[in-house]
Amino acid sequence: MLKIENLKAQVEESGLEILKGINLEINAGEVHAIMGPNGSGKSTLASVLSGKETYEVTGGTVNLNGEDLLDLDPEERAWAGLFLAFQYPVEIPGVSIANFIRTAINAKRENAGLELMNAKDFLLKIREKAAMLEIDPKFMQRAVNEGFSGGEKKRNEILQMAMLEPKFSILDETDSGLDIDALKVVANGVNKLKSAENATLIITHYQRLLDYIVPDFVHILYNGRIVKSGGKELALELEEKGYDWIKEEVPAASH
Amino acid sequence: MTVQHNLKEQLVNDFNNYEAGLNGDAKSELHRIRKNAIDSFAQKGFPTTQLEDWKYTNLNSLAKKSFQSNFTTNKQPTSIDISKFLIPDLKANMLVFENGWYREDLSTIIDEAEGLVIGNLSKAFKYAPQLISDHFTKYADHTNEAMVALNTGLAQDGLFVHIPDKHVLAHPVYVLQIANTEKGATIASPRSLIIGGENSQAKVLQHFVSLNETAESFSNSVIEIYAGTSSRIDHFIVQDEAATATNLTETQTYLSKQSHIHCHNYSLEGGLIRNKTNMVIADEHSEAHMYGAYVLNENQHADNRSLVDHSSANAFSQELYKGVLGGKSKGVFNGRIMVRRDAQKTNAYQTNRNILVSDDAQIFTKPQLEIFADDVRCSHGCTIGQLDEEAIFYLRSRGLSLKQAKTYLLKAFVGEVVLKVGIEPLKDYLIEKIDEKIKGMMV
Ligand SMILES: Nc1ncnc2c1ncn2[C@@H]1O[C@H](COP(=O)(O)OP(=O)(O)O)[C@@H](O)[C@H]1O
Ligand SMILES: [Mg+2]
Repeated sequence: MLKIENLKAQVEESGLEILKGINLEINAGEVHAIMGPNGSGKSTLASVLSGKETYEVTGGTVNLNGEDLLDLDPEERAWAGLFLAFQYPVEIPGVSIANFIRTAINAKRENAGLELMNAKDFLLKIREKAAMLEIDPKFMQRAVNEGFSGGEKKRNEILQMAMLEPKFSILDETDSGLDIDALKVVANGVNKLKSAENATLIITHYQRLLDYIVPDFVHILYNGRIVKSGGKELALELEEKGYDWIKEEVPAASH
Repeated sequence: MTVQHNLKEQLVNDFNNYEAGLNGDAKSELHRIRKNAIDSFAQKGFPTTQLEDWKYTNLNSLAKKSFQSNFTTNKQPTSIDISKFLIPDLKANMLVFENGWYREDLSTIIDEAEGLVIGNLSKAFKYAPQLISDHFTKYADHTNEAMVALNTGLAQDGLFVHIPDKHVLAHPVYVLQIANTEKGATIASPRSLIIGGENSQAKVLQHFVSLNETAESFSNSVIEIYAGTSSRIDHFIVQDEAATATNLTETQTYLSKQSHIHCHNYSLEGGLIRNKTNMVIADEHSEAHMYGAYVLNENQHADNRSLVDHSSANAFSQELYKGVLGGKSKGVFNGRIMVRRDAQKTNAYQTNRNILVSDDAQIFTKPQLEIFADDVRCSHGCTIGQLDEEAIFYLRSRGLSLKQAKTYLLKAFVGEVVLKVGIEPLKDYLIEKIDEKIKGMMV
């Protein structure tokens, strides 16, 4: 589904290199986790994959279902089935969540030459997804992320994901700022959305979330490179030994 | 070279000619007021940019053009198709004015009650002399403000609304102010007097439109609103005129004890717009709310000024104005809050936010707090900015195109104000109009 080869990227403005050659392959039906200490480049990878212009790609390729992702505008990537649940979702006062999601769905449909989703069908669908994610229907009338708690923001991201039905989703630190109950709800939602046709990349620096969403593969990103990959037991090992273990091991490995 | 026209002299002459044709009426109290007002205008002339209040709105070229004043109403009114102006699904008491004159033939009043008057001023001068002498010209200052003076001198008709004590008006009053220039450039002096009795409630909407754009129209409007004890008046101004139109509107309100006034102002289309909203907090526990939005494009000019005069203690005022400016448009916001010495425990807030969507658009925004009491809470905030890049990216990542994302964010930005409109069909109408306009600005 997604194939990243030797991806390098820098901050557009300063030329600071952050991604130093990432290789990653994710197949349909799989859940991958990327772990790594703060500042290792996890969010940058998510941003580069979704087309944020703050970063400049200086090398490598990314292929999503046969399409060259790096050639596409952010909205075209969304139409191609990419979804990013933001670490820091933006507040948009004056717009309800429901209106926002419907606009997004219809933007995609419009591009595909499909009929727009009418209000009634939309309502049925969002009610169903909200029930699945244990979200109060009143929540959908609130302004997008305005004054939301961390947990509410993340729930909103997952609701959008459920409604937009992406092929490939990236969840950036979706667990941070959540208490254990909220974490379970979010994890539960992600598990329910999982299918043989889609794939998920979970970015986290705690192993906590991985107790609830069990990954098929775990990768450790450090200093702009994936320095270790393995099965779900790698997350446990990391939890046990801490990031210092990687920091000690890596210089030897990467020089 | 042609000799430059002097509009001031022309209008004063027009007035004198009209006066010469009056018989006994020239001795009436009403005429005395008009005469004083015209004298005051003659002395002051059109405001110049030397005056702080007119710093950004230049009437110089206008003052050199000829505009027909219309002292008499058309004996044989022409038929006007008003359907294109109407707000869908709005059930209201509808009054149509053409260049400031009431068109009873086009108007429909649906609410009736003892003491309730929804009609026109020239009738009220005859049939409601007490209310007229208690309220007419008592709030808007025609001795110091030249444009108020001109309106007071020229206006022969206008809107008159009286809500009796304890009455809650069932339907809004919808006033369609039509500028008609089929006979050439015309100056109109729309005048309004709205009186809310004790414990009364009413909503009044004034919609300024142009019938044609072949010649320039110049609307110099004055609106007086009196809110009696514990009353609530919601007043809405929607300016949607031709690019050849000038619209100057002065709204003067008076808040009695525990009264609430909400003044909304939406500037959509029109060439030159200037609004001045004055809220006089005359007694305690009253609330003045002001909302406004201006969405400007091309060479449009909109100058919004307000003054909240807290002359009594324990009152509340707040103001939220937002602007989106494209093309070569120019916007001005000047919000003055005056808290007088005795106005302790005042709460006064003011916010003005602007987004510039073109490099050539300009905005001048200035808060002015003058606080003479010591126990008050006042705040203001002015911002001028562009759309937030992070927000644009967020929307694009959800599948909105760049243009859609920008349009959507601008709609949301203005939406914060429009959502406060308490007349559902008007809210929907404004949202649609603003959406349309913003789409057109995103080229
Ligand atoms: N736009 C930017 N400008 C400057 N530095 C940046 C920018 N984005 C990321 N960085 C830097 O790149 C490194 C990786 O950041 P990030 O991808 O956010 O890490 P993570 O998500 O793994 O915590 C950090 O040192 C961060 O300061
Ligand atoms: Mg991060």
